[in-house]
Parts: sequence; structure tokens; C-alpha cells
Amino acid sequence: MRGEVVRFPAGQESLSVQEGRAAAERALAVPIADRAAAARELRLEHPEVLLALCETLTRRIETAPASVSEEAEFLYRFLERPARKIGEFDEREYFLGELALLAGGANRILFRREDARRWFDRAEANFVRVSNASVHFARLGYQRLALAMEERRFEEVLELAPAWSESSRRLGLLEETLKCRFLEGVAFREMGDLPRAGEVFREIFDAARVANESKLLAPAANNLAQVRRLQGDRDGALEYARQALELLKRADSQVGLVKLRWCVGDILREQGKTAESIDAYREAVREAERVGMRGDAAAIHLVLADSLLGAGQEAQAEWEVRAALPIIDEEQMVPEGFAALSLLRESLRRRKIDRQALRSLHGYFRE
Amino acid sequence: MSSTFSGQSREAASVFGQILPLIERALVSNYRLPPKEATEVEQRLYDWFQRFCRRPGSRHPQSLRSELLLMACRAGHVYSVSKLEDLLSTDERLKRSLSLGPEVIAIEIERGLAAPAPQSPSTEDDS
Repeated sequence: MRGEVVRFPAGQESLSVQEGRAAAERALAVPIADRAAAARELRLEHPEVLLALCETLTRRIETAPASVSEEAEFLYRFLERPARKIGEFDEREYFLGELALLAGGANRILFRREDARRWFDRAEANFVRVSNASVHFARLGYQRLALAMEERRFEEVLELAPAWSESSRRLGLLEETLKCRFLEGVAFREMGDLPRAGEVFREIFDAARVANESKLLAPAANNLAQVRRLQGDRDGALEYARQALELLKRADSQVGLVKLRWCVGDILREQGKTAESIDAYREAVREAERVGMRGDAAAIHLVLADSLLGAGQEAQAEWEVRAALPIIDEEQMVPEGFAALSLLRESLRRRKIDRQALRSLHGYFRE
Repeated sequence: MSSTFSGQSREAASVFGQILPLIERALVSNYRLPPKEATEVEQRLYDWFQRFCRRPGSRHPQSLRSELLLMACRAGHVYSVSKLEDLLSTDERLKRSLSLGPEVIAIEIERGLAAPAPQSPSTEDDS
């Protein structure tokens, strides 16, 4: 018996990987409002279909986080109540954990931090009962660290990122290993330690190239572009930005493209190419709004307003600030920037934008 | 992409085939499942393991054999507790398996892979 390939007759309706994927595509094509009623026909309780749905949502999270958030929440609620028998052994808990992790990750990208936190807690509550749980805790650990980064808790990131990176490495999770190091690099950059940040990003870039991890090469190049820009090496920055652009387009990472266009806008502005930088920012803000990255959209509106003021286009700058403020209010963003926000709002009422307040405020958004 | 999946599926099946004698030993000898029920549990374990190997973060199927064996022991444990309570008073080995828990039994059986454990004189199914 030992070493033989065995195939048992299936206990439930058997679906191949391809059939599961086709069923997942069919399910996603049905509007969410109509989906629960058609659950049986769509085979929403079949573990092969759920596995394919999770794979599809994972691929889409960087392209369409708003839609992934809705889809993952629907599927989570569908599996959660009434408690359905899903697949075998730990599969129900696994799918609940995975869907919660996806919803949390999507909400984090969308700047909905409290929602993200709650979804991560739900993921943890389910993963704890899953086989090989340490792997999923490491994936969750990265997401929580990324949230800490977005909340600018840099010291916490610098303390925990190396530990999570090492744990991920030991568990054989190359992507999480390097992603934790990314956060470490970003924290160094934000704390002004540009040489250490550059070193970390260069190591990630090299490791990703050796491992042929194209998904990680792009953000590594993007971050190297930002560090070079901050170090005053604008040509080096543009060279890395060009590499990142190609890689991000190939990976269809809309989230990465927004951040890159934002970075290119910064480089062009620092080179004194104001008109080109304004175009880059406008493209970035359009993409951010299309993808549903409301936080980034608000931040880019403010940076764009700053550039427009520099170009003497005060009326247009005012529109950009007016576009950003409702998002900041609705999402309750940057509570630490409350004073700057109040000054900006006040200056807007006087139709004379307070540029210092504007700059202070968009400084809070920088990752 | 599909060739990757079918390759992975073949590897998962191969690993399952390697571990199957240990799974059988666990279910039949340690947890006293009747052969028919043991076969049903093995079928469910096979389907589960195929999908388990495709979860994000899963390593090569070969390195997931401990998880497979542990799940088999958990399944046996749950089955025994729910179906065989009346045997508990008379079957010392079953009582031991249930009291030690599936984690310990899985480790004991896995260690027996390198150096097979002596057969229990009280059962015919240990081989």
C-alpha cells in the first residue's frame, strides 16, 4: 500500500478543481442580494467551490478591495448562520477564518480600521480550531502588523515585524516573511532612518528576485523608489519607479499602481515638474476612487491641492480640499491631525487655504 | 496552472497512500472503529487532505503528513466518544487512547513509522 496513489469514491458530490472554479465564477456573477436564495443551485456549501471562491477573492483584493469586502462578508454570514455543515472536519472553521481574514484585509486597504480589527478577531476565533493553525496565525499576524503601520505605530512595528518575519520563515511562508520585512522597511523610512530602510528594501528586492516572487518585486521596487526620492536621488527613484510600473501592471495590482502614481507625482514635483506632477496625482486619485481606496483618495486630493496652490491655481486647489474633507469626516481618519483639520476647515470658510495646515494634514496620511 | 494543481493533487494522493496504513492502525486498533466505518472515515480524510494541501500557506504535501495523521486521530477520537461509550469500561487500549487524546496518539503512531510498534496481542487489525 505504501507509496501508492489511492483514489476513493467521493462521499459527497464530487467536483474537480476546474469545476469548483467554474462554479465559483458562476456564484460571483449572481448579485449578492439574490445569492442566498440560489445557494443550493450555486453549490455555495461545497468546499471545492468555497476554496475556489477564496482563491478568487485573494487574487482580487489588490484590484477591487471594496467588492472583496462585500463578497467575503456575504460568504462569512452565509456560512455562519445557520450553522451549516461544510466539508469535512475543520473545513467550516477554516473557511470562516479565511473569509474573515479576507474581509479584514480588504477593510484595511479601504481604511476602515475598526471593521478590519473586528474581522481579524473573527478570523482568529475560527483559525484557533483549524489544523495547522500556526500558519494562519502568522498570516493574521502580518495583517495586524500592517494595520499597526497604517495607524503609524512604528515602534510596535519595528519590535514585532522581525519576530513575525522569522516565524513566517520557519513556517515556510516566504510571502509573509518578506511582507513583514516590508513593514519594517516602511517603519524605518517613516522614522527617518533612510539608510536602514533602503537596506531592507534592497534585501527584499533581491530575495524576491531569487525566489521569482514577482508579486513582491513590484512593491519592493516601489518602496526603493520612495526611499531614493527621499534621499534626493531622483534619477534612481525614477528608475525604480519605472521597474515597479511594469511589474505592477503585469500583476494587475491596482492598489500598488495607485501608490506608485502617487510616488511618481511626488518625484516629479520635487524635480520642479509641477504640471506633470499634477497629472500624476490626478491619475492616482482617479484610480484610488475607482478601486475604493477612500483613505488614499483623500490624502492624494490634499497633496494635489498643495501642488495646485504651488501652481497658483487656488480655485482648483479649493475643490480638491472640498473633495477630501467629507471622506476624512466619514471615515473618521487621522484623529491625531484634528488641529490641522480644524485650521484647514476654517481657512476654507475664509476662501484662503492655510497651506501649513494642509501640509500638516497630508503628512499624517503617509505610510 | 491546472497542471500544477493536478501535480499537487497526485502528490497529496501519494502521501495519503503512504500514511494510510498508519491511519488504519489508528482508527481500527486505537479507536476501535469497525472496518466499514474506518473506510468511510478514510474516504473523508482523503477528500479533506486534498483540499487541505491547497490552503494558503500549506507547504509540500509530504511535510503535512503529521497534520493528516493528527486529523485521523481526532476523527477516531470523536467517533469513539460518540459511538463506543459502552466499550470504554472493558477496552483498556481504547480507554488509554481517549484519555491521552489524539495529539499524543498521533505522535506515538508516527514514531512507529520509523520503528514499528509491537502488535497488540488482543487485536488482529494492528498490522
